This record gives sequence, structure tokens and C-alpha cells, in this order.
Amino acid sequence: MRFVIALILAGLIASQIQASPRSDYMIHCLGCHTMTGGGMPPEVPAFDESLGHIVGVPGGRAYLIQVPGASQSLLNDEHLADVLSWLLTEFVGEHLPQDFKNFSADEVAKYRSITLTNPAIIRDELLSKL
Amino acid sequence: MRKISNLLETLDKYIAHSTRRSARTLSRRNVITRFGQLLVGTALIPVLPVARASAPSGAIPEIGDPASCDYWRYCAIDGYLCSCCGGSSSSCPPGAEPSPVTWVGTCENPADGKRYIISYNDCCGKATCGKCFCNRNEGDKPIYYPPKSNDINWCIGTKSNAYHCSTAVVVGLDDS
Repeated sequence: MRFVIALILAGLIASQIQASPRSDYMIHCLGCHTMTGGGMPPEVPAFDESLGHIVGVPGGRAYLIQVPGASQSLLNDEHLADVLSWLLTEFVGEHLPQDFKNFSADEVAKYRSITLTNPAIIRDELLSKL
Repeated sequence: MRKISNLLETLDKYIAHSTRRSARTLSRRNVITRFGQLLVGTALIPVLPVARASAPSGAIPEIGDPASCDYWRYCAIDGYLCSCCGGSSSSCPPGAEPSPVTWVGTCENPADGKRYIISYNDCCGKATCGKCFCNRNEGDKPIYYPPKSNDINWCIGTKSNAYHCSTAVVVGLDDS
């Protein structure tokens, strides 16, 4: 019985830790990326295994911060970092590099202000590095 | 290989021993009671807050008329209510196709005081419904913030971009 209670409490705590970036995803991203992360290709790319690979190539993390949906969102740097980390783990967790580290507010602040004039071209370049 | 067979043998002995011990110490009625408790416990798990947060539609306390503009879910809507057009607050009328992309807002539910995340999917592919126009703009941003603007025709990605009416689908609890 104690074990069951501990398990339920652990679940509740885990859900609270996850709650904030999940809500932010729903409020700021879900409208286009959809609940499943499937998006609406080609205009809204799906969160599939290619995303897991992009994180691992040089320039990939900066690109994910700079895509218009992320950099121009109304989320502050800290929340954007949390949402990016959450969605990568949630949707493409099994395809992430083994040494994947969560995004930080400082990392977001560093790259966010650099505007991508043509994200699709950068995306193709990153994918060609695989 | 020998290690595995030793392990299996130990496991076998353990199970045989515990089964005999249960048979000696527990009555059949006791076993049935425990099994009943397990069933009830399993059935109660979805009532816990964790499950409610991930699947809010089953447990949201409701108040108000979904065919009226002042219904709580419409706090950020801009369009004709599908509830008046042959659909509901969360589904399109027959023959209309829901837009896969949309804008998302949050509204407070007066029945429990909590804020919920609402997806305002437009229904598309039919002529404008024209009934129950409702324009409430809580949290609405200017059109230069497209993901946060309700002034956009969100019939994008549908077969036709003709706008018919708007829904207000609850997608989760806002605990951000």
C-alpha cells in the first residue's frame, strides 16, 4: 500500500514538474504544431526524427531557437528554453543525441536576436550535414 | 546458461513457497476481497488530478449555454458560433471541415475558477453560417502576432478556405 501511495505521489510531482512547459506549448505552439507535434507539412514541419538529428549537428540548437515560431513567440527566454527542451524530449526523445542537454535561458538569449531570413534553406543545410 | 537455470529454479521455488503460504494463511474470501479492492482502485485512478489534467474534457464542470456568446469558452472567439450552425462548441456542422491549424487562447471557467486552454478551430468549406456572431477578444493580439490573433481566417490547410463558423475546443488546463 505504501508503495502504491509513493507511486501516485511520484506521478503527481512529475506531472507538476512537466506542467508548465506543456501548458506553454499548448498556448503558444499547439495552434500550428498540433497536439501530436505532427504539424501541417510542408508549411509547419512535423516534429519527427529529423528534429532529433538537427539538435546534434553544429548550428542545430541555434537554428531551433531562431526559427520564427520560437524566436518571435511571446515566451520569455527562460520559458522558451523550457518549451524547446520539453518538446524535444516529448516528441523525439528516442532520436535525441545521447549527450543532449536541455536548453538554457542564456543560450536562448544568445541566439534569439539573430534573425533567419530564410529558415527553410538553413534547415536543408543542417539536414545535409547528417 | 547455468546461471539462468539457477535463477529460474530459485524463482520457481519462491513462487511455490509463497503460493503454499498464501493457501495456508488466506481464506478464499480474503483473496476475493483483495481482488475487488484492486479493481476499485484501478477504476479510481482516472479520477486523480493527473488524469484530469491530460484529459480535461471528461471532468470540466460546466455552466452556461454553448449557443450563447457569453458562454465561458468563447472569451476569445471572433466568428459565428458553430453551436448555432448545426455543430457544437467543439465540433463542426456536417459538411464542414475543421481547420488543422488555429489560434489558441485561455479562458477562466466560472464553474471552478480555473483557466483552461482553448483552441478556436474554424470550420471551413461551406458558405458563412451567419448565425450567432460573437466577438470577444480576451488575450487577442494584433494581426502582426499571427499565432495570437483571432482576426485571421484560419481555414488554412483545409480543402477550401471558405469560412463557415468557429468552435472552442478545450485542450488542457492552463497551469503555466
